[in-house]
Amino acid sequence: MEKLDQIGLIAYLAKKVGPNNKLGRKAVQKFVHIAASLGKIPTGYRFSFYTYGPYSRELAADLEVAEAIDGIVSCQNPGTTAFDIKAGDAADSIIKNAKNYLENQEKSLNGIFDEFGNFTARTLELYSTILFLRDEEPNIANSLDDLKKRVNQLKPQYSDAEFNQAYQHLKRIEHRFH
Amino acid sequence: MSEKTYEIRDPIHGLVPYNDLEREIINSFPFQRLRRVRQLAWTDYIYPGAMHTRFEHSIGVMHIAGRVFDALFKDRRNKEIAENVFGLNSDERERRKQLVRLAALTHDLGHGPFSHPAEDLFPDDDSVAGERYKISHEEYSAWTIKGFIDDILKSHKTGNRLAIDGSLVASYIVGAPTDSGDALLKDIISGTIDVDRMDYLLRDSYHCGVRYGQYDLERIINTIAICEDDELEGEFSIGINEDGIHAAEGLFIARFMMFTQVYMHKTRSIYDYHFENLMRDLLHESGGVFPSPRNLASLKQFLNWDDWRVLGCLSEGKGGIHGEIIRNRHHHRLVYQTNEVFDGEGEEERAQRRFEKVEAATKKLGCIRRVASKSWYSQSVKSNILVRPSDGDSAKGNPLSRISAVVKSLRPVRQLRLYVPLANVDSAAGEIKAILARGGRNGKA
Repeated sequence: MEKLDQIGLIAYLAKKVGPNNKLGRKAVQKFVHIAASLGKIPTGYRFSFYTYGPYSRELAADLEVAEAIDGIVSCQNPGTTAFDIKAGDAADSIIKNAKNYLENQEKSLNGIFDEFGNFTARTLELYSTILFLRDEEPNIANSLDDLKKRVNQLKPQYSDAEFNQAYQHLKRIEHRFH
Repeated sequence: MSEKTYEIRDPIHGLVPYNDLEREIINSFPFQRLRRVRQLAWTDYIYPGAMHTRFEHSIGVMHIAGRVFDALFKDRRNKEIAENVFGLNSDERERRKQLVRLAALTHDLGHGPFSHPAEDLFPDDDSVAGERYKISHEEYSAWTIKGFIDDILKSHKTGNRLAIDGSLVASYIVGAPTDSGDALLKDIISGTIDVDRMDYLLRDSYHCGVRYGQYDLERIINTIAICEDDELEGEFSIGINEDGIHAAEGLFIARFMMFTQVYMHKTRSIYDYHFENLMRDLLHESGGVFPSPRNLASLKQFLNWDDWRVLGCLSEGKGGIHGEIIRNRHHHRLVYQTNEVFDGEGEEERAQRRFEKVEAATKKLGCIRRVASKSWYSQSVKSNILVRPSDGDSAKGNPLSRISAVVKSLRPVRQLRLYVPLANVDSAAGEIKAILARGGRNGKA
């Protein structure tokens, strides 16, 4: 995976989702993870599981690169400590540099943005957690109860109702990305 | 941990205590192998003192991990969050601390000979559709723990009493931890302010004979804090109390300086390239890659590769042309590089175009491109480490990169470098001079 394509993906995400959503750094992590896991979009990032769900250190470093070259900008949310990511002045030229990659993935990426573009970081984290466990622990992937139990062990803050809703939603839409 | 304890002398931490279970693991084949895996590959060709190994680093990481764990439970607010949110009550603490120390001790078991540069020779991971990853050294570590350390854990009275097995320890390194408490504690091993880098900065600095990696470890440990995420309400990770902000700044400056002065050193970097190629030659019978970790026999074959074996091959004249280069220290020389950072609009693109012109002109001379940001040590320079207010009951963290002017000013290094074989340095210099004379310069010859 070329670095230009990875940075292009970040700028594209900021451009597509940034204007309509509070897109913080963790939300970017979740979007990229969901794009890779559910959307089957090659991103080149490997994710590990932390308290805040699936997370890639390399993606965190690339966010800094994207910001350093004005592909994205961070703006503080008034009255909070949180920062939102928006497309920067150089976003269009960075996206252009990754044109072939983004065109190949456009349909799936836009499908992900359509489904999840308005989700909060908290909700994205639940989806991302379910997908991570499904990929990494195939022995529980096909059992609703086992998967729910594992999510509850790692993320007890989500209710059964929230899990069920996310699980059913994923079941309904996953065929679109196969 | 009421069992018998032992001590080992460490140049960074002094006397490091360890218990009988840890002793058995230290005495196992996979861990003793780390005595024969250098921490910084061929860095001793530049900094002659850099002969230290993953063995001492792993013991150092275990030691700091235990200290950070203890520090977490000394602070009232940390303790409240650990107990109320993560269920880390006092009766659970001995087991969790042992787990954290074991994960720290074993986290590097999967390194190949000469550590990070060997990772370019790890086989592709074909388990992820549509992606082309290499299997990571963390995955090799996890398989080694499950394949070779598991029996020690299960048969030892402490491991048995605490119900710790290989899968549990490995879950701190790859995949998902067992529960939310382990997920929080995993931050100690590989979070934004983890014990791995706390140790390697001090240790690498000490052995290289430089001062760039120095920072105030005691203050960091003293101010470690569980912080609520700035973005995800109700989510916590390990960061630092506001009182330790300058110590944290020191840590990140140290990392930045070690990156630019040691890990990314122009000569150190080209030896990664020579090593990779000599290893491809040595591994030609297995397709130029190391054996996979995914079955025990093959993993054992991998673990039989260490620095001694590579050095033995080198001393027998093996390793092809790159083996010859390493034997004689006739490495390729840096002839051109772009700046480390760029400020003006379009400056980086112009520098890149010029670099490509130079590269095209020196292709016939066998030039090699190296990208500093692809270094194994290249990580987030600013880090999103959270800083918790000193006063009040709020645990809401603020990212250090937002509140520290020093850290805010750190920028990722994106330097391109061009090397040519020693014999072609003069010819390359002539070509480059001509190109620079034709169109100004955005790089350094």
